[in-house]
Amino acid sequence: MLEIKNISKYFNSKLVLDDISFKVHKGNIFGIIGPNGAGKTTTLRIILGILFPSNGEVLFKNKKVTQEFMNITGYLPEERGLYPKSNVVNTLIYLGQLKGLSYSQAVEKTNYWLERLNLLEYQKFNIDELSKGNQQKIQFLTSILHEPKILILDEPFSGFDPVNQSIFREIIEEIKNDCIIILSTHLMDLAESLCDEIFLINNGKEIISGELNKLLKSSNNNLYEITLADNISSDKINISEKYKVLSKHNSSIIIDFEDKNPSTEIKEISNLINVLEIKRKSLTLNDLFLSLVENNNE
Amino acid sequence: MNKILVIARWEFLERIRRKSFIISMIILPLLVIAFSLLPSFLLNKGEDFPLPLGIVDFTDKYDKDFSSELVQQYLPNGQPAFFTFSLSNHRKDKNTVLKFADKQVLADGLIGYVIIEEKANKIDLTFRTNTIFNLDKLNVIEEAFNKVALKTFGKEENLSPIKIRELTSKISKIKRSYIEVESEDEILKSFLNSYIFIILLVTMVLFSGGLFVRSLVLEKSNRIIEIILSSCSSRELLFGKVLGLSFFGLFQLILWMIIGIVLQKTNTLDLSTINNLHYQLLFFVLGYMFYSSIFIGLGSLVGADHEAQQLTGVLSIFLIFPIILAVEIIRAPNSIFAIVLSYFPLTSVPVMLLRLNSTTPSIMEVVSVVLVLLFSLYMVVLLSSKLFRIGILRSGKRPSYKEIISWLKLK
Repeated sequence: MLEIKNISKYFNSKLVLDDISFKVHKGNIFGIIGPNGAGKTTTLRIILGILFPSNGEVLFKNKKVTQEFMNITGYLPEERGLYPKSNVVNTLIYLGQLKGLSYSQAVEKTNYWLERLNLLEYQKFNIDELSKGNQQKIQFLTSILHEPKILILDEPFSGFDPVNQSIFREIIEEIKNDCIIILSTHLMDLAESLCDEIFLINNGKEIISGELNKLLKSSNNNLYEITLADNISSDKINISEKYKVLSKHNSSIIIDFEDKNPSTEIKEISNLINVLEIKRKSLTLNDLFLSLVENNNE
Repeated sequence: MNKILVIARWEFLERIRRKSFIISMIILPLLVIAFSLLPSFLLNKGEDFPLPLGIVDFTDKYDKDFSSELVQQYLPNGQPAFFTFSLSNHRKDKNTVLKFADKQVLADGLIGYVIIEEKANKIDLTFRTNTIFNLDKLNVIEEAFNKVALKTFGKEENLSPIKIRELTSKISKIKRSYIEVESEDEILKSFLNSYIFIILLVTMVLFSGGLFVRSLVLEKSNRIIEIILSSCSSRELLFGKVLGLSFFGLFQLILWMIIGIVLQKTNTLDLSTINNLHYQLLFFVLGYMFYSSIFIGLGSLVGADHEAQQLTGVLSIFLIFPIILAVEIIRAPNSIFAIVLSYFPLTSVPVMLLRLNSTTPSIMEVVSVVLVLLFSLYMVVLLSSKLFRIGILRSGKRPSYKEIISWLKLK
C-alpha cells in the first residue's frame, strides 16, 4: 500500500498543495482528477521524489520511502519527449539501468517489449526517425520496462492515437493486479472508464475521494437533462439562480433538482419556456466533477 | 554510485558518437599543427641557406677540426649547411667571451654558437641561441662534434675501438641554452606557444561545455528530465554528468597527447619549444574542470538554445580576455598585474599559460595558484550543485537574480 500523508507544498510563499492524504492499494487504478493547475502533477512529482514536500510524507508498506523507492516506480509524464538523436535500444537500456536493472536485464526486457509491440525492426533507429505512434510506444515502454510496483501516469493518453490507446489500456489492465497504478487526468471519461478509486483535487485541496462506484451512487442523484427549443430561453427564468445547473451546452442543460420534487419543477419550467425533451440522467464522473468543483470555486 | 556511472557512461558515449565530435577531432588537430608549426616556420626561415655558427672552444682542442667538419655538411640544395666563426679568445675571461658571443647572436650576426668545455673529465657541449633551432640541425652539429672528438682522442691515445667507444660515452649530449632577452621574436614565440594551449582550452571548454548545456536544455525542454529525476537524485545526475564530461575531456586530451607524441616522433612538432610543458598540462586540466563546472551550474538555469549560446559567449570572454593583454604579460610575466590576474580564478588559467611560456614561476607560486584554483573549483561545484538541484526542473521563464540568490542560500 502506498500512503500519501498530510502532504503540503509551497512554491516560494504560494501554497499549491494543502494537507492532502490518500491511500492506494495494489490491484486498483487510482485516479487523481482535477482541473488544470489543481495540483495533480505536483502531487505525482512528490510521490516520485522529484519534488520534496514542504510538510507530510510518502509511505510505502507503512515505511517512509527511501532512494530505493525510485527503482520500483514507473513514470509517464504529461509532457513527452526522449533523446531524439539517440537510438531506440540504447535509450531503453539506459533508462532501464537508471531504474536499477543490470545491463543484461535491461537488454532482455528491451528485446521482449520491442518484439511484443512489433518494434524490433526499429531498434537501431534514432528516436526522431520513428513515426509519432512508434515514439509514443517507446515513451510508454520507458515507464513499464523495469516492471514497476508503482506506475504513475500523468495524462496517460493525451496525444496518443486510438490504436496506441487501446494497446496501452490492454497493458495497463494486464499489469494492474501486480501493481499500484496512479493516473492523473482532467479527462473524466477516461478516468471513469479506467479508475477504481478517485481523488478529486482543486486549488491544492481534496474535494472528495473514494471508490468511484460508491461515490457516484451515494451522490444525490436527482439529475435531469432538459433540451430547450432555443438556447437563450433558459435565461428568461433565471434557471441558474433557481436550480443547481451542472452543465449548459447550447440548448441542453443538466439540472440537479436536489431535494426538490422533479415533477413539479419540470412542470413549472415547461410552462415558462419551450422545452423539447426532458430525460432523467444517471450521474457521471463529469457531472460529479462539475458540481463539486463549481461548489468549491464558489 | 552505480547510477552515477550509468549516467557518466551515457553522457560520455552520447558525446563521442556525435558527428560534431568526430569533425572537431579532425579540425582541431589541423589547427594545433598549424599553430605549433607557425613559430618554427617564422623563426627558422631561410634554412635553405648556410647558417652562421659560432664556436667557443675553451679546451683549445677541437675548434679547427670541428669547424672544417661543420662546413662539410651540406643542404639538399648543395650549399654548405653552416659557415663557422671561431669566437675563442684565450686572453679574455670566460664571461667576457660568452657575452661577446651572445651579442653576435642578438645582433643577428650568428644563428647561435657552440660552447665546448671540459667539466669533471667530461666534454660539455652547449648550443646557445635566441631562436627555436631546428632539431635536425642540432643533431648534425652534435654528430659532427662526436666525429671530431673521436678523431682527436684516437690521435692522442692511439686507442682501440673499444676504448674509443668508452671515451665517446664521456661526451655529453648537446644541450640547448636560450639567450633570454625581450626580443620581439621571443615574445612572438611565447605568445604562439601559449596560444596553442589557450585555443585548445577555449575550444575544448566551449565545445564540451556547449554540448553539455545543449543536452540539458534538450532534457529540460522535452521533459525527459522528469523521467531521469524519478530514477535518480539530482545529486547523482549532477555527479554523473560531471564525471561523463570529465571522461570526455580526458578522452580528448589523451587523443591530443597521442597526436602530439606522434608529431614529436616524426619531427613535425617540437614540444621542447614549449616551456614548462608539465605545468602547462596541469593548468590546462584544472582550467578545463573549473570552466566545465561553471557551465554545469549556469547551464541548469538555461531554458533555451539561444540562452545557452549567450552563456557560452559570456564565459569565453573570461578565457579570451587575457589574450588581449598577452604581450604585456609575456613581456613582464612577473609584474604585479600578471601575478594578480594569476590569482583571480576566472583569468588564472589563461594568464598562467601565458606566463609559463616566458618565465618559470617559483614552485611556491605555482602551488599557491593551484591551491586557489582547487578551492575555487570546490566552491564552483558546491554552488553549481545548489543551482542544479532547483534549476534543472525549471523551464520557461528565466529565473531572476533574486531567485538565483535564494537558491544559493538553500542548505
